[in-house]
Amino acid sequence: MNEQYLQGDLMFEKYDEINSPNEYLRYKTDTDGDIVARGEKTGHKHRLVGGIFKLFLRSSPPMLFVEEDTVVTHEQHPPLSLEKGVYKITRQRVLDYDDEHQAKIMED
Amino acid sequence: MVLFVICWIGSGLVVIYFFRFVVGSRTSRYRQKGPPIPVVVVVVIWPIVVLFGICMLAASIYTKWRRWVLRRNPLNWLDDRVGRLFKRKIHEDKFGILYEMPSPWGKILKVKVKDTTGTYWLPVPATMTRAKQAVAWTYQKSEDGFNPIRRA
Repeated sequence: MNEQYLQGDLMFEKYDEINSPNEYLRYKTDTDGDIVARGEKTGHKHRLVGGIFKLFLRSSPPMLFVEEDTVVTHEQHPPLSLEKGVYKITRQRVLDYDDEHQAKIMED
Repeated sequence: MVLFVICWIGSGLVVIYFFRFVVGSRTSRYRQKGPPIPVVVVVVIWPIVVLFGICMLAASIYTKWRRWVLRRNPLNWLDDRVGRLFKRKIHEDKFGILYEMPSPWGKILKVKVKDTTGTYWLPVPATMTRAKQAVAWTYQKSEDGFNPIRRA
């Protein structure tokens, strides 16, 4: 089973090898900075600090390639260190009773 | 059937009733034309009522607007708090506590999760039976496939 790390409403799932690396290669020239997620209500950010990484939020699923150990920081959560590897990023969701019971991203 | 019209007569707006439908006694000075309408009603209350009506009509048509109105409904907050008073515990484990909330509209389940930043009530599908299963669903994982080794 893949290693899973949680920080608040984010889950980083580590993959030693990705099944289809070519799927992500096209994103490699267009990374998404260092902010993994931003809270809609509080404005707090899950930010990558230090190390060498490439963040691809617009890929499906969002992926993080860590080439040198990095740390995910947040204003309220303790820092989460991530070792070298490929991580799939998942945002926590909740059921939206107001919208015909569809799942929605949890508002942080 | 329209029983009255509103007209500008003399110095202000008045209600003119038909069919001798009047407000007040038979000797009332407003018997024929009806009472004058206060300016505050025309300037403040009517625009609010009309705008509210238009917004509600639009919200009933457009999904995005409906969602916006429903999410900001202050009754949601009250409903949420009252629901917590009468909740029923279904399952508890190290991941959280799964509760069933009282609701006349069907089964509503919420899992109570304690985090480093506080306590969260996460609505989950009504098919959930265990707390871990519910928390795993919020991270789009199955119960067996959800085993976080670190939680920051």
